[in-house]
Formats: sequence, C-alpha cells, structure tokens
Amino acid sequence: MSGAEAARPWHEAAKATFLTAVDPDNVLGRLFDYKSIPNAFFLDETGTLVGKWLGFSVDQPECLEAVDRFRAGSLEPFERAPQKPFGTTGSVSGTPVLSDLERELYEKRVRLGAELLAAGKKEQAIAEWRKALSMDPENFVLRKQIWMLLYPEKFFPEIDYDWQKEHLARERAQEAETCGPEGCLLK
Amino acid sequence: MGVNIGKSIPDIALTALDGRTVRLSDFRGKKLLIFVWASW
Repeated sequence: MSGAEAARPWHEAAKATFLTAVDPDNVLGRLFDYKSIPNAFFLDETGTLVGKWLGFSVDQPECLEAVDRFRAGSLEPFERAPQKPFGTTGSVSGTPVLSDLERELYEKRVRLGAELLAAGKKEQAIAEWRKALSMDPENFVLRKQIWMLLYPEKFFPEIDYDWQKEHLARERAQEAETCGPEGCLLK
Repeated sequence: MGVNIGKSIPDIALTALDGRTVRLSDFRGKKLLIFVWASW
C-alpha cells in the first residue's frame, strides 16, 4: 500500500482540513533535497521559501510555535536541520557527494524502481532501489520504502520503530562490508 | 543542493487525495506551509 491509498486513512483519522497530496516521484524531495521525513517548508505569499525545518514534528511545541509566528507574520527567515538525523551516528559527513551524472543516474534508478513496482515487478523494483540506495545510503525516504516492500508486517497494522532501529543497524553492518571510501560494491 | 531560503519555488504539481492536480501557484497570495510526512 502506498500513495493516496496509504495516506487517506491518516488524513481522515486526523479529520484534517488541510490539503493532502501524494508525491510518488519524490518531486519535493528533489526540490528541497531532503533524505528523511518529516519536514516542513514555509512559503510566503509570493512563493518564496522563508523557512526550512528538517525533522519538523507536530509533537514538538517549538515547531507549533514557529507555525503560529508564521501565521502572525513574525517569523524571521530560518533554516533548521536535526542535530542527529534518524539512524545516523550524529554526523552526515559520510554522505557521498554525487556528481551531476551520478545524481541523474540515482534519480533514474529511483524512478525506474517506482515504474517497475507499478507494473507489479516488486523484486526488480527493490533491486533498482537498492542500487540507488548504495549511491546515497543516508537516504531514509528510499530505505524505508524498500523496507516497506520487504517487511510489510513491520509496518501494518502497527509501525514497529524498535525493529526499524535494529534493522538499520543490521543493514549498516552489512553495507560496511561492501562499502569503502571509494563507494560501495554493486551486487 | 535544494532551494535556498529567500529563493522562489518552481511551480511544481502534485496529485491530491481526491485525484485533483494541485500546483504551488494555486496558493500564490497566501502563506503556505508544506508539511512532508509518511505513514512509516
């Protein structure tokens, strides 16, 4: 389950009055260059980006305060990123810097995976996404999409966050065996 | 990488839950908060 089908129950349970849209092609992810979720982006009346909060959570009072200030017009332009993104060891300096061509290849693999999945070719989709992930191992949006296909029982009916942390540690250990300073071996 | 603070956002289009296409330009003239979340 993905896209609108996955989002609708949450939207309805929240009795949300805001507009919810789905982003299967990761248009927003490419636009704002994020690798984990949740995030918030604040745009003024002219469509200018005035706030970028990676790791934004409605559970955090300071996030809601920022929204109040935004509504009141007293929010200064700002940019925030989590000090410790999900699953990382405190630094993302190990994130590979991809050349334009590599970035293009990465995006093509992500899109090919999505198309394969839409065509019912799950195994091939996962293989493409794994190749993409090997180019950008800090991309948790992609990593979790792979997990959801491989381990649906960990996501429905309840999301097992403890399992996610454990599984991430297992995958990182495996990846450390096949990745070196020059990159990762493609299997 | 990514759009920087103070820069305008390209007019991207996404599909709403009801199947409608929504564009960022639909919200010009209003403040817009884009909250990106996932069910997982």
